[in-house]
Amino acid sequence: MCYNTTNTIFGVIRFKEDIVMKHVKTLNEANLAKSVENGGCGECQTSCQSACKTSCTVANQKCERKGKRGR
Amino acid sequence: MVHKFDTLGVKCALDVCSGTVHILDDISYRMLDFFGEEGNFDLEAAKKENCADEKHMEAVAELKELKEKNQLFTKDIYKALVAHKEKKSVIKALCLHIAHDCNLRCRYCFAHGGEYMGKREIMSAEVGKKAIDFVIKESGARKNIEIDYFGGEPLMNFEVVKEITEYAKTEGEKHGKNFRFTITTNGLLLDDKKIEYINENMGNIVLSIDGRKEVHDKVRVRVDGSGSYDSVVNKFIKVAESRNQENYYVRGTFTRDNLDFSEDVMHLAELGFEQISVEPVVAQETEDYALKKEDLPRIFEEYDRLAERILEARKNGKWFNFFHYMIDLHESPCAYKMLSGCGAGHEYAAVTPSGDIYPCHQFVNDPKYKMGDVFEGVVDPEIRDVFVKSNIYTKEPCGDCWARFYCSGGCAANAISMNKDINKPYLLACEMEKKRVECAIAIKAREALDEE
Ligand code: SF4
Ligand code: SF4
Repeated sequence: MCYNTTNTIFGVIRFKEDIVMKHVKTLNEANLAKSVENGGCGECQTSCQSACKTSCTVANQKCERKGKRGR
Repeated sequence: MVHKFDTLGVKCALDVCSGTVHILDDISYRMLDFFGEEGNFDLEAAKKENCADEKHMEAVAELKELKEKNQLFTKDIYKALVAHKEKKSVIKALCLHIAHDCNLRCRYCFAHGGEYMGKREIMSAEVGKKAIDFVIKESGARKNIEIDYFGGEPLMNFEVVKEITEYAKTEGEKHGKNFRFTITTNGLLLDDKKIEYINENMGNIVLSIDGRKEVHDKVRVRVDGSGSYDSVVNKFIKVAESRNQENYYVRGTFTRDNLDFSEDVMHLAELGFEQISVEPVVAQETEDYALKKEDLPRIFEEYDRLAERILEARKNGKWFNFFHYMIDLHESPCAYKMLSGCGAGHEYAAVTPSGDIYPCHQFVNDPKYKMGDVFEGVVDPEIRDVFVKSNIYTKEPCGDCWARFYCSGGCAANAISMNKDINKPYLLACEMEKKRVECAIAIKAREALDEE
C-alpha cells in the first residue's frame, strides 16, 4: 500500500492514493463529527461571549475530557 | 460548507463542519471558486475562465481528494444534537452580583455605575449561601460548578465573597461538587491580603484595564471624574506576577475613541502582562463612543495589525496571549458545546444582591426576565425555554454562517437589546467575531509555515 504523508504540517494524514499534494497543506486533523460520540459531558466551562465579560470564542476553550475523546 | 479567506498573507480554506484548515496556494485558492456548496466541481465554468489547464486540474484533484477524505465539503450533521442538549442542560454556573455599587463611573458601563438601573445594594452572605445551595441542587450530576464574583465592584463586599467561598467549598465537598471561582475587579481596593486570598482560592481573576493611560483615564473614572490608571496598574502587575502569569486576564474595552487599540494591547504586553483581552464595546449607536458600521474597515485593519504585531513579538521571544486569537484547532470543545455557546438562562444564571435570578448579568433588573429567586430555588420554565431553545439553527443568520462553530451564535443579551429578538444576533458583533476567527486561524497558519 502506498501512503502519501507529505502534505501535512502537523501530524500525519495518510492517503491511500498516490496523490502528492502540491497545492494544499493541511494544518490540522480536526474532527468535530467525532466529538459527538461521547455525548457531550457538560463539564466544560461556560463562556460568556459578550464584551462585558472576558468574552470568549467557544473554540478557544479546552475540553474537560481532553485526551479521552480521541479527536 | 467551505470558507476561504486571504489574511495576513496566507490563503486558507476552513472546512466549516469538520474544523479542518487547509493552507492553499494561489491556484488551489482560485479553483475552489468552481466548487459548489456540495463540493461538485464545475468544469465548464472553469474552462470559461481559462482555469482548466494541467496545473489547475492538479489542484482540483487535490481538493477532490480532500473531499473524499472528509476534510473538505463535509456536511453539517449536528442539528439532531440540539434536542439532546436541551434535555441535558442544567444550571452549573452562577454570576453572583456581590455589590450593585462601584467606586468607578466608567462611561461605557452597562451596569451604569454598578447600580443596574436599580438601587445601590450589596449581597448578604445569606443570599450568597442560598445561591450556592441553589446551584448544587440545580446542577444535577455535573461535578464542576463555576461561580463568578461580579458587580459593580465585588471587592467592595469582600468579606461576603470570602464567606460564600468557604461555604461553597464545604458544601461542595459534601455533595461531590468541584467549585471554581472567578472574580472580576477594577483593582482600586486590591491589597496584599485580598490578593493572597484570591490566589489561594480562585482559579481566575479578571483585571479591568483599558490599555494606555490616556485611553484608560478617559473612560475609567472615579466619581469625581479623575482617572484610575495610576491607582491600579502596579497592583495588576503584582497580581499577574503572583500568579506566574497564568490564570488571570487583564481585560480592556475599546471604543470609537481608540480604534488604534493594537496600541493598547501592545502597551499591556509591554507592562509585562501575558494574558490579555481587549474587546469591542457594546453600546447603543446613539452613544458617541459606540462602534458603528462605518468603523468596520478600520477595525479589521487594526485586527490585522495586531495579529502582525503578535507574530512579530513572538518571533522576538516575547510571548503573550491575546484572548480572541486563542484558538485550538486540534482540541477544541465538542460539537454539543459549539451549538449553543454561553448557556445563559439554562446553564448559567445571574443572582442579584437581593437574591433574584436572571438569565445572565446583562438581564439583571429587567422585570420581564426575572426567572425566580434563590429562596424559592426554582426557575421559570418559560423563560428558561426561550434560552434553551435558541441555538445556531434557530438564529437566522447563523445556520449559513461559516463561523458558527466558533462563535456558537453570539450573545443573546446583545441580540435582545439591539434587535429585540434572541434569534437575531447583533450583526456588528458578528462581523468583528468573524474577522477575529480569521486572524486567529491565520496566525496558526503563519506560525506553522514559519516552523517548516
Ligand atoms: S447572553 Fe451574552 S452577556 Fe449573557 S452570558 Fe451570554 S454571551 Fe454573556
Ligand atoms: S458570527 Fe453572527 S451569524 Fe455567525 S454564528 Fe456568530 S452570531 Fe451567528
